[in-house]
Amino acid sequence: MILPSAYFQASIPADRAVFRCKNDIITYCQYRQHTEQLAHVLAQTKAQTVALMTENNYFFAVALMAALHAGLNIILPGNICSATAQKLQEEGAIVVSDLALTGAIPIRGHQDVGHSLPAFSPSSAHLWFYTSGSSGEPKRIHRTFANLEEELRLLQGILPEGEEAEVFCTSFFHYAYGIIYGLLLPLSRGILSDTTSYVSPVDFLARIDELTPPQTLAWIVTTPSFIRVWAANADICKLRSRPLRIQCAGAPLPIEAAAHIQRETDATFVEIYGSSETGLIAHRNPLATQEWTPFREVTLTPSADGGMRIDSPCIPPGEHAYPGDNAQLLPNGNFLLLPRADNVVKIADKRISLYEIEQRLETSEFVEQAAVLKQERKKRSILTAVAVPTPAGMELLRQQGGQAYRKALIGHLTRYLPAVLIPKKWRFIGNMPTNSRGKTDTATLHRLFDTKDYLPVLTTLDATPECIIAKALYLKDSPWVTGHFPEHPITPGVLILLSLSMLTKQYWGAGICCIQRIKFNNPVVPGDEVYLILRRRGERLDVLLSRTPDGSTPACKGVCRLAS
Amino acid sequence: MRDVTLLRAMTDSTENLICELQKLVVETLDLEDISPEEIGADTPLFSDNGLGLDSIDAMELGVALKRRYKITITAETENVDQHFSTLASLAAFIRSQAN
Repeated sequence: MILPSAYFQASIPADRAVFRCKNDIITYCQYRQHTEQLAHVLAQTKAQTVALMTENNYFFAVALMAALHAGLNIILPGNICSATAQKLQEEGAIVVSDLALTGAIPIRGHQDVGHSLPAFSPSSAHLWFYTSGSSGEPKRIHRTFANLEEELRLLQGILPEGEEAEVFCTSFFHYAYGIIYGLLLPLSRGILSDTTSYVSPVDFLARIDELTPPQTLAWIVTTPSFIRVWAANADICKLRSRPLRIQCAGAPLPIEAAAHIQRETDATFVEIYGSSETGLIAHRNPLATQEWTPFREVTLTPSADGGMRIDSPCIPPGEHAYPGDNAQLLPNGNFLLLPRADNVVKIADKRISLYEIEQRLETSEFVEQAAVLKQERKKRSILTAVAVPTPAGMELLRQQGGQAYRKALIGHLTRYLPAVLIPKKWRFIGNMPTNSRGKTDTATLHRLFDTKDYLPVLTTLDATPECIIAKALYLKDSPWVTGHFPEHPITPGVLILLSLSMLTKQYWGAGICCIQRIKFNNPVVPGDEVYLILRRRGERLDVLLSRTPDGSTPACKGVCRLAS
Repeated sequence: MRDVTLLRAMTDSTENLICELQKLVVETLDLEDISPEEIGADTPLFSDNGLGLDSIDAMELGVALKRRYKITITAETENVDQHFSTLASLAAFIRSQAN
């Protein structure tokens, strides 16, 4: 194992392929040169703290190592927007970015000055991460680089030595998960890492198949949301003939999806339990056991509130971590995870775990995945639920509409829960929204309840910065539809535009502000499923509704404008 | 002196009173997925086969009825479960309070 803090002192061949950037290979020599150039510029600034705000994973790899070698404290902000950059600069940090942020130091384009890269002390290198905020406000977390190297050391203990492999990480490198698995782990094992960012899980599979030699282990580092999409995608079969390891973290793994992928591909699964706050805690093969095995040197102690305290070399000395989950410690040293302690809410004086309700819902034949939220309705706390239907659930929605589906789910829950704990409001979506770290995007879920009436059931098939393709099922009993030509019901244009706007807001952060032209070629009947194909060119948005995913059977075509 | 709203409830037709209660239930409880006219006079309010309301909904409804018709209906009211079982029985209870 090569320690990343001594990476540039190790004897590594100059032409060793280190990163793949789209279709190009970055060699060790090039990586070293880019890092040296930036480290020299950073050392000249005399600053103490640098914020790394990068969009491109390779540039992040350069910026991180340059900042470490320049002896700077490192902030990894939770977002890369200009307001955050300005705030950090006002607080005295310099900003390094591959974006056009005012006052930021660019990553490339610096002079070659032959700046050397001596080893740095990992215990004196401080980093501040921000959590995703999936369960509340983002938290700032302090780690030293030595803590991250400890994570690598623990990981080495469970991984085979000397593998010929390429790592494909779906997480951005500037998150703790991405740094460890996308960047530092491949560097420490001398294996290639793909730095391309993937918004679309489907493109990702095609790329692995195209780029990696068939005998090379494709080591996919990902999150449950990607696994769900792959399981539903027939192309996973393409990876059948190659060695494949799928490593997953961030949220509970969907076991049925993982089992399906394993049947189709013979992949091995490694599930990691840990977080930005705690570092690595435990691992398991999720298809073989429910028990988690703690990493060597990680100690779990039950805490008074039923949770657990973590002592580990992955967190700064003298500090403890509390992962917020309840665990049942087993006599063999392993443990079982119980619902999150902070996921327990009180409704009408009854305590209930939202996780438990979600689990109950997911036992229904009509629910693939569920999220239950606590919201305020007038001065009262109520539970609301978002359900992703199974194919049977989708059929029920198509044939009978939202009310019948909701009643079926309420009927199912009533077998287990008292009436006050049954969700009062329901939304149905084709896939659970996730953030860039693959965690359920709770803010988007809450926003679904901003509009009162039944919305179309949207399933995103692909979302990139340029294009969104989604399937929409317009429900028969939506109040938008009822009374609209009762004898010959059609989906009103306003509802179609609302569904387009929901997608652009979710993926591009901008709604539709103006319709330049729109033509309805043939009516969309409630109960129909249609494909929404949105292509963006700056603020111009080309819209196509089609009965087929290739756009060849248009129902509506138009040009709109996105809000800036 | 009797409240004007209650007097109107007494003299109005049962059909109109139920229509008023339909709106009251939907607005008070912020019900989605159901329009006022979809709640039939005999739709069970608290059964899973009906609206599936819960005990907190009953309290909120009790407060709304008090505000609207100046009648008091609490857990201690005799046959409270029966009064709250449907809109028809609720309308009958409101009318009985005027007698």
